[in-house]
Amino acid sequence: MNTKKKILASMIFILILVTGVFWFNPEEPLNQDMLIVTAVPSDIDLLHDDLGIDGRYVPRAQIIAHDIHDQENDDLILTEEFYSARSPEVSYDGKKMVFAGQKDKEATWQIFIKDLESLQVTQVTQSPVNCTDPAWLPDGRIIFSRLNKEESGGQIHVLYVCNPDGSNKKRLTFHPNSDISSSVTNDGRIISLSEQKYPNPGIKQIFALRTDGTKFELFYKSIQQKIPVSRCWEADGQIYFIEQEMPLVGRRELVTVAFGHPLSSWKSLSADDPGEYHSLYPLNMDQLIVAYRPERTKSFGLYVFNTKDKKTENLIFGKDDFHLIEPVILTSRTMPLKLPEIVDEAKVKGTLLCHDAELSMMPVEGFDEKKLKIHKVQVFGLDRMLGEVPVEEDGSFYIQIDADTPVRFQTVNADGEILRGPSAWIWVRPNERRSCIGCHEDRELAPENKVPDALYNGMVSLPEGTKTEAIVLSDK
Amino acid sequence: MNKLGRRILFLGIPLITVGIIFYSGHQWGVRHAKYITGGTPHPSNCISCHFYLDQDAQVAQMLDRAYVSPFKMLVSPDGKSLFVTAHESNEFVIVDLESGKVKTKIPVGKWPHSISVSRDGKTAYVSNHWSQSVSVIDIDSEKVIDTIEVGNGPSDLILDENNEFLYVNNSFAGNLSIININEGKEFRRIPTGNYPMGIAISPDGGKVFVTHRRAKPEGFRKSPITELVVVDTRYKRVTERKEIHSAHIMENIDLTPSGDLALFTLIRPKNLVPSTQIERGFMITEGIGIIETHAGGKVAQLLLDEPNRYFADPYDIVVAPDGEKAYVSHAGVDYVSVLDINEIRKILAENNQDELNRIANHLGMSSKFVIKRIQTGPNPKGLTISPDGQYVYIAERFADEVSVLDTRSMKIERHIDLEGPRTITQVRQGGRLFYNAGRTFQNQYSCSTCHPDGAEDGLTYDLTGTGRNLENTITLRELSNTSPFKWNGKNVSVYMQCGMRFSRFVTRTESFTPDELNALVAFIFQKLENPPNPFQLPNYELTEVQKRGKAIFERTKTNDGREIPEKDRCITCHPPPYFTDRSSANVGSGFETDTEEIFDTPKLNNIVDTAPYLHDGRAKTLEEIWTIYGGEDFHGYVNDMMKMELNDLIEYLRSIGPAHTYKFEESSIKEASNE
Amino acid sequence: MNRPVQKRFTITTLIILMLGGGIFLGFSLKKTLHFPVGGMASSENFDGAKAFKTTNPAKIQELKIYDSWKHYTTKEGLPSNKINTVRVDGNRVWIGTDKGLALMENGKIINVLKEEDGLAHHNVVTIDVSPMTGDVWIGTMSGLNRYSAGKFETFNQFNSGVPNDVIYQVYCIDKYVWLATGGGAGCYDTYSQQWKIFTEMNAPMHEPWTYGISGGDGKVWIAAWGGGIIEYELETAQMRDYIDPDGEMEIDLFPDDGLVHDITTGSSYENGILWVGTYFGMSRYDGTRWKGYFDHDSGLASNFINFTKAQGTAVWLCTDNGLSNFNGQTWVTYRPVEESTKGEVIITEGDKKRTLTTSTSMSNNYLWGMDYDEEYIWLATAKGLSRGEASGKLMAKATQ
Repeated sequence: MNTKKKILASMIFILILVTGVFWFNPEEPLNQDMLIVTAVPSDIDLLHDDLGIDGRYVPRAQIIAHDIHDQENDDLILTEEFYSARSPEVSYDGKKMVFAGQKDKEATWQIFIKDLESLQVTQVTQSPVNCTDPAWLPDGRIIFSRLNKEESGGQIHVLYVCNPDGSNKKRLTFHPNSDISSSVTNDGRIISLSEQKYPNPGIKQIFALRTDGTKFELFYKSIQQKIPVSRCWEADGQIYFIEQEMPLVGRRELVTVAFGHPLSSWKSLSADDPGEYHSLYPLNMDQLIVAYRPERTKSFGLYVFNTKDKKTENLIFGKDDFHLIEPVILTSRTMPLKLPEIVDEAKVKGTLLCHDAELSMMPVEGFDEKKLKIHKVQVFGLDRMLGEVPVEEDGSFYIQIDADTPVRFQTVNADGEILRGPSAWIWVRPNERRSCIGCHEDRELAPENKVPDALYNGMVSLPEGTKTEAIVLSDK
Repeated sequence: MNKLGRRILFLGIPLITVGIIFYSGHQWGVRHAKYITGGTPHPSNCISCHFYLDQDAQVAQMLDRAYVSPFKMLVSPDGKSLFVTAHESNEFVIVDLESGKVKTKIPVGKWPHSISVSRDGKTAYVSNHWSQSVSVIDIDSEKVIDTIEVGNGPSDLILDENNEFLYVNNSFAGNLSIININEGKEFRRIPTGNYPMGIAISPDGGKVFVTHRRAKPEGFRKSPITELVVVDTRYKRVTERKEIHSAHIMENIDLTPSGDLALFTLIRPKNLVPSTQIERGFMITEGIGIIETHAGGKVAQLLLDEPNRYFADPYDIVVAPDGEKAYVSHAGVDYVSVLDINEIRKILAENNQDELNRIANHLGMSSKFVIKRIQTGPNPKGLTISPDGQYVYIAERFADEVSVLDTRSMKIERHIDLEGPRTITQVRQGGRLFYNAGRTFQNQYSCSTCHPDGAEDGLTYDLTGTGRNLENTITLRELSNTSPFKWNGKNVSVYMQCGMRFSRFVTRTESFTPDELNALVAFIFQKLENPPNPFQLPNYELTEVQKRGKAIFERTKTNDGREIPEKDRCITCHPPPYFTDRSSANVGSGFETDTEEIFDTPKLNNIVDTAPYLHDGRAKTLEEIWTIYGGEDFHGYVNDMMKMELNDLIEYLRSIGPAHTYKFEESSIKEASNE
Repeated sequence: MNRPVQKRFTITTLIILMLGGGIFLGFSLKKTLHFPVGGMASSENFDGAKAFKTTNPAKIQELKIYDSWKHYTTKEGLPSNKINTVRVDGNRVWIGTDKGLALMENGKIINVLKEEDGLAHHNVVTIDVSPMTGDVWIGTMSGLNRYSAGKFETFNQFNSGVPNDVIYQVYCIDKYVWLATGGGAGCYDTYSQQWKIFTEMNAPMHEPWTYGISGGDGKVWIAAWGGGIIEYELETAQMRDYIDPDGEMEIDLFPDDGLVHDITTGSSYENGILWVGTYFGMSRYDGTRWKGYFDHDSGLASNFINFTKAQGTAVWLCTDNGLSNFNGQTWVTYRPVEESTKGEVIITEGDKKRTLTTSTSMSNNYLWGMDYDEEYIWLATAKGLSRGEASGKLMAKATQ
């Protein structure tokens, strides 16, 4: 064979090779748009799910993938190697799934990531205690709730963040509240169901905070003695979640609030529906997938819910012997904004500037006019009073407190009589400077454009006797 | 050496040489870029700076496109034509609404701003914002038939009901030109307030309402108070000055058909509030102002924002002919809000003035009267409504389009193409970013909110959130070649200024991507020019007073013959063309709220327009820089001067115009010296 | 002898001399007093004998006699009885006192404005109303105010180009606001917000101290202390001065050779006549000839003139001893009768004089300023504001 022929043959060979490589495409185990869902044996009572420590850790649950386009396809179990697994969330690029799993019956719950292309599973947390309720941050990190044993006595779920490999784990919430079912809104903040546990139990509300644990504030609170019980999902400017009537084990309905003004836009989408809702996932502009059952004796199945007509439409996936809950769709999603972080771990304190402690929606009864004027604010930690702070004529006060330590406030008049409080718990992160407009004021009020007197009249460092820490001026 | 060796040598040496040159060149380029951008981590390349950022770069000019940029609009009285001002192409555009096509484009003055049309629809009057004139256009012949001289910065304008007098806001001069239409010239000019912008006339023609962009100079650390001025059309005099508290940037105004309410857009800034956060409207809130026009009527402000969602830069407002609805364009978020005027009436009826003052800060109020939010194209500016009220036309400035909103379906029905260039240059993209709030937490404000039209809002902000190092907003016009930036001169580049730290402490959300930053900087450097300075004579000559002032500006000896050290001469730190030596100095302007006494030397181009002065805006006027804050000749030698001489100096400062006029001066001087 | 006693003595002597002179010349008083108030051709070389023949009523403005007076004091709501200035503005009257600014409408004080309202200083010295914008410009002892639609704006030497904060007179003409201040005259262009200052450095003055400003027909006249009158042409910005040619401080050596004295306190211009008030008499200039008037040779109430205001072809002069109204021929001088509420009206024409009494009078003889409307004259006196009304009764009596 002469050289020319050799060259020709080798060229043909290379061509075949290249074409072969081009056409060879191993079938993906999971098609896009597949439904990923937690399947819980129907003999397990889900009514107490999300309602406390025990209900979160359901046994024998599995995460499965179901093809909604081709019902003939067998469902794939994605967590076969787990004793129990739940709470899946697909990454924004639609390529990975984070979930909470229990390797065996005695093991603690941990956070895992499953690569939905290679189907490889990697463990994120290596915690001696339970870690659940994972969600993706837009920067690729994972947030989750960790069951801590706190000084305040009880066990509470505390919100943490870490890298996908489990490194750089940081605590985000510092109050004696249990924070669960977190998700990320399009503005980049985390919203969680938060329930005060100490000193006296409160009721669940939805709180928002930034991804560095700063600017923790109320996002939604029911005005009808109802409590949010599911993870929230945002779609088309609306936040959807399940709310349960009190007392416990009351009716569960599907509700929505406008993301823009959640405190004043509550709407029930299933008011007339005798059925029961468990969890949901936004399908498109007008439709949700809901975990729903027409009556309590049945297991939860997945239905399409039309948000315009406020009606549950067809069942898309149901199994009599399983509750099908926590649906997500295997697809890429709009990435929320990545929020910059201002926490300076080298600092040990943060500041709080209250513009007007007099501004409140809480009435004070049993005092005449003269005694209503706030003279001081008492600042409490978990176990003691940290100190008293004078209140300026305009109602403002300015304190520097130990970072990552829960505090709450109580206002007193010149005679030392308590006017309002104690308030809900708040905290500041190291080097955080947070402000509040009033004390239990209307949460939709923006501040008046004025310089609070306290800004120049000196900042009080608490606990009493501790030194004021120099503030790093956050100029741009 | 064999053949192969020679070949290797022949090919290898040049390759190695090129490699070495390329590598070292690249290394040098990276160091240079790091220095220029202040080490801002972003993959810059030679082109991004040297092609786009240099104002005088030929390449930048070659790459630029003549965009139309529709600004304000008006529908002809017969509803058949749409008149549009094209502020970048300096044209008056007539659109045939039946075909939805551009009929003609008529060249007018610089930055055509607003339009008013005679009742018969035959004559249009267009204010030329940067030409101090009004173009009179004959609609039938499609020609400019007259150009009437008015004051500085003509913006919104309105004809009275008999087409006898035309009222024109002179924004930069702070007054109102009243033009006698029959005589075709100015009849009178009356002072209004600080930077008049919006104008409307009552249905009975008896009153003209003027809103303002900037607040009254109330003094250091006072909440802004901006005026709404009422002019009596019979006597042509200001008869009322309503004070709108804690608000400014009142860009446009419209009245209900019955004339009982005047509605105008506004911004409620929080410049006195320590900026520790953006959440809960801690930096800027946006809304509308409403006045009941009858004697002793209420004054209300209602926010269009929501607690977690802001609608930045409300610009234009139009009331439907039936008086039921009003439409507001939000230039910063590409939305139009639809307001229910009856709900607004209810709010006015149910609340006394004190309650109205309280709810002016309530972010939940919008849910009571905003009935729809409609997404638009980039940077919706002017709005106009068809005589039958069926269509609202929205000028999408950065799309070179007008979108048509059907008020029955409340949907954008179609887009009218104003035939601008299809390509979006990097500079154009930068413009979109500059005027958009997408890179601020919850879209609370855009760059242009505090820098309207690239200038400044005249307020001092507490950006450190501690009451320290307060900062007077500085103009971004003619920023190129004036680094470093920021009052303390810390930021060596705009990349640094608008980079990561900016997003951490000012916008508090995801920062600009490197490409966005390139585009933004390109736009700022190339497009944010200063308007012509009316106090500059043609050919940049000086009046006698200005000459005397210039002599003082450049003097080397005091009146009593003492030598002024070079460092203390005005001209040393403020040399043309930018009137800054780009260094920092202590001019005795450090106050109790400052941690440093040394500040960046500001440029002086068009300083007449940039009150208040000094780094924290303490000096309300140029005079106060020396009469109150000059100290013992810290800020140049002035204590030996008589009042008359200070006036001369100030007249010279007031005449300092755009930098390019001094480049011209410099080159002509060079030419002269060469001859 | 102290000053008022001296004045009384001079006036009494003058009256005696005139009466005596009249009898000596054989005129019958009855006949002499048969003249209309006003009605003479001109005051040049006036003598009683010619008076009746050369009457040319067309040129001479008839003077009213104000015989009914009403007083406004702190009782009526004024902030002080020391009234520095008064300015009529349509149906409103602005009153400047040493303790604030008052606004009167339909005879009632409806508003009193002080520093806390934005007034530059409590001592209001001068007020003018811009005919173009209707804005009220207020000069005080410490700065200038613009009062527009109920809101003040302050201009002083710290925040603007105002020459000096002590402002003696403000005068609005076209788009300009002119000031006479302790540190020179100032001109503010309301269109361009530019200031011009005129002092001895750039104008024919001896020192920067200026007392009065008036204008008309494209000219402005600055009354400069010791510098006479400076005429400024608005269009050409040309300036010239008018001074006392004899330069004598005490007496006017050569009558009618020019301005009576260089220490001018104010001027006023109307119908082509410029009236100049000084502390040593009054001058009238018709564009070609100057004529001087003094208390000893005319009906002028006093040589010490605080304020000058033209009305048509006549002038009002506010002095330290009453008010004079002069039409070029006839003087009508008003002053209160001491230790009574009555007043006297002295009508003088040349050497002929008649004194009439009125049951009411201005509240004080020391006058700082005045203004008029169709019905009334308003006087700023050292002891309250006085409003004079011409009932016509005294007029008839005077012309019998």
